[in-house]
Amino acid sequence: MIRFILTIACLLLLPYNQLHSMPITVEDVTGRTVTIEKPVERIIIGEGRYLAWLGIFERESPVKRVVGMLNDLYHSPFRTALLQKFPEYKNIEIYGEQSAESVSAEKMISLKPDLAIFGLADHGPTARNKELISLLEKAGVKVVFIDFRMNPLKNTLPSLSMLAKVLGREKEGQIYIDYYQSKLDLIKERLKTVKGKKPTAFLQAHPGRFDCCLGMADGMLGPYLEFVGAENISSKIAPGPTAMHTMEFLLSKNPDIWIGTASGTLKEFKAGKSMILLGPGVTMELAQSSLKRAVGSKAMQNLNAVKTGRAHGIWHSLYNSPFNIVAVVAFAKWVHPELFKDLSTQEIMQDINKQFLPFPLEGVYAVSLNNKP
Amino acid sequence: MNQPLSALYRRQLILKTLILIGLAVLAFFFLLMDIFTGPSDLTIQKTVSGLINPGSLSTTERLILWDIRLPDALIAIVIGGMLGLAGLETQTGLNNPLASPFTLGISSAAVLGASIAIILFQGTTVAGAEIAVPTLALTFALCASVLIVIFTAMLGGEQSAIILFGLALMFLCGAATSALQYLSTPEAVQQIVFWTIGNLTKVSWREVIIVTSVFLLVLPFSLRHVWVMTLLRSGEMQASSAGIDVGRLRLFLVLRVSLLSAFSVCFVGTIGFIGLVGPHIARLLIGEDHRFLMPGACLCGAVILSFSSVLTKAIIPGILIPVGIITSFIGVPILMVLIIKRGRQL
Repeated sequence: MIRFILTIACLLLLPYNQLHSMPITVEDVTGRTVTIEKPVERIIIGEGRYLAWLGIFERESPVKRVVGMLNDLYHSPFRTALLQKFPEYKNIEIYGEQSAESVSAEKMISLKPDLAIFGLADHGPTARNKELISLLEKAGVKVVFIDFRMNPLKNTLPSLSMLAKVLGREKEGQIYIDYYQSKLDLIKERLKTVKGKKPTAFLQAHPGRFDCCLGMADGMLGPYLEFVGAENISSKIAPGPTAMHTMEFLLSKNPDIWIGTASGTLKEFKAGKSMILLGPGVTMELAQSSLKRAVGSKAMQNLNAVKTGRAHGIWHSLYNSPFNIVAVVAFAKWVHPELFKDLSTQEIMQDINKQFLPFPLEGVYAVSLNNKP
Repeated sequence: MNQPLSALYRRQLILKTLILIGLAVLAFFFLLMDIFTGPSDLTIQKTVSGLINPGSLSTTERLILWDIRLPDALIAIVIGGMLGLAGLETQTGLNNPLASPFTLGISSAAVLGASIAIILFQGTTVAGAEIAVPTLALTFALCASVLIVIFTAMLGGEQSAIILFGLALMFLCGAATSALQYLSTPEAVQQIVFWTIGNLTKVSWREVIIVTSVFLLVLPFSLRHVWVMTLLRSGEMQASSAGIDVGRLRLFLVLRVSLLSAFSVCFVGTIGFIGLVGPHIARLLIGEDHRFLMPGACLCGAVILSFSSVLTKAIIPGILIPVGIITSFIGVPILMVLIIKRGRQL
């Protein structure tokens, strides 16, 4: 009798939306059908970075249900913020280092997760790790794949809506999905009016940290350039998703717009690297001065994009995040400044901070030489 | 058939000199090709006039020719020459056809140094972040060199001991690099991979001057030993009985090879295979006489790397194929053809 009362009490404590629709069946981005039979209480995630956006669904605490993840020591500003607000973050067990090869299947199973969320092509386990996935499934863990990286324009919204269902947070998820969709629709609608020759653009990964010039072609943030109506000079010749070009290529093609992705730490920047610094905790002043340094070389100063102020920086981590809408809006503004002058990436980040995150990721995520991020 | 021996010898000398001249012409040809190749529409005519009179070019064209193409093309010739020379010295000195500058573990030490710079010292201000990687790569390569030199001196230049020590060092540095990679971010691992497949395009005139100075500093010392090295090829016993202190010879040889290898990898990353194949191609063309073989090995190395440099830019215009991949693809077929044609053992 006591057990019966306790069961009823537990069931009553569960949020209604987690109860009413069980079991639910979803299709993930790989086309796999997964049925969730009971409310998910223990989750393992592919990368620690997922915690940055799990707040879309988990307003109260993004770490509450997460029991295991890869070691994420290297994202220190985010880690510090997370730890401050949610001290229980440190209880999340680490089941691997920085790659799929380093994970321990035994550790994962021993955490007794109900659900594993992995990326299509992340730093953690992916759909290619078939043996590991089938092992987890045999152990009763439901595995779903998401994708904000390989084909974000196609997969971001389906990934979000699937997550909303499996996490039992459809209402919360839908608010962000609607917000994202509205920005995307606005851009699409306005772009219909654009005619004439497309401006050319080059999107360089990690300037100042990787050899010049690693171009994003059809991979990572590259497809957004074409989406907002620019011609990506890298994707025209690149044999793969990214390609190594030379400075001569850049000088001879002389693109109208140059965008560098910002990765790396404040420490590296202070040590003198010609890199762009963006992300949580970075001020506009710092971002501006880093961009100026990144395009300070004699060769870069010769580019039309730099001379005309159309050199920009975008936070690198947006390449694998549902907040990639910030990059889409930034690119749209940079390619068609007049058409999208009413949009602001800072405002979008503020919206995301206020509405969709349990703690704010204050900082600058996009920067321009001409001061209009 | 009954030509006097002196006439035969003279003919040999002329033939070898002609081969050397041929190789030098080929190296110069590829140097020019390298300077003429690039994704921009800089014509040969314009390039030549720009070389003579830089003022005839626009600012962008001048940047492309003088700050991008020329340093890259020159460093390919110099580093090719250095690796060829280092390879020959290692093979002759250690009497091992499979030896190369990398056998001594110096390049592995350079990779470890670069990895440490990439993973642990991204934010270091000691050497300045921009030059942290080459500085640490050079430091580690030189430390490995010092170890090898000390070890060589301790063992009196015993060849198999030097090779074994070099291999041990190579594996140790390799394991340390793997351990670092295991614990580092995928992005840092990617940076290390890029570094290990070599890239000639990241150099400026400063690097060209440093590397060339080291080459010009070491080369006379190598050339001074051509007779002794030729004698060494006839066997260590033979050389010793002729009064040569082989142990001492090896000690200085290891020192020269160390300097050449350390400076050739620290700025452009590891470019494999040239140090192994360059000397063999030269040997198959010229023979064992080190008076000709030594410049021949330098020129063969320079030709292969310069040609590779052309291909890195020409295969897909606008895209850079890593030079370390190309050198193997070019070097191996040339070596195979020569071995089959000559039908002789290395």
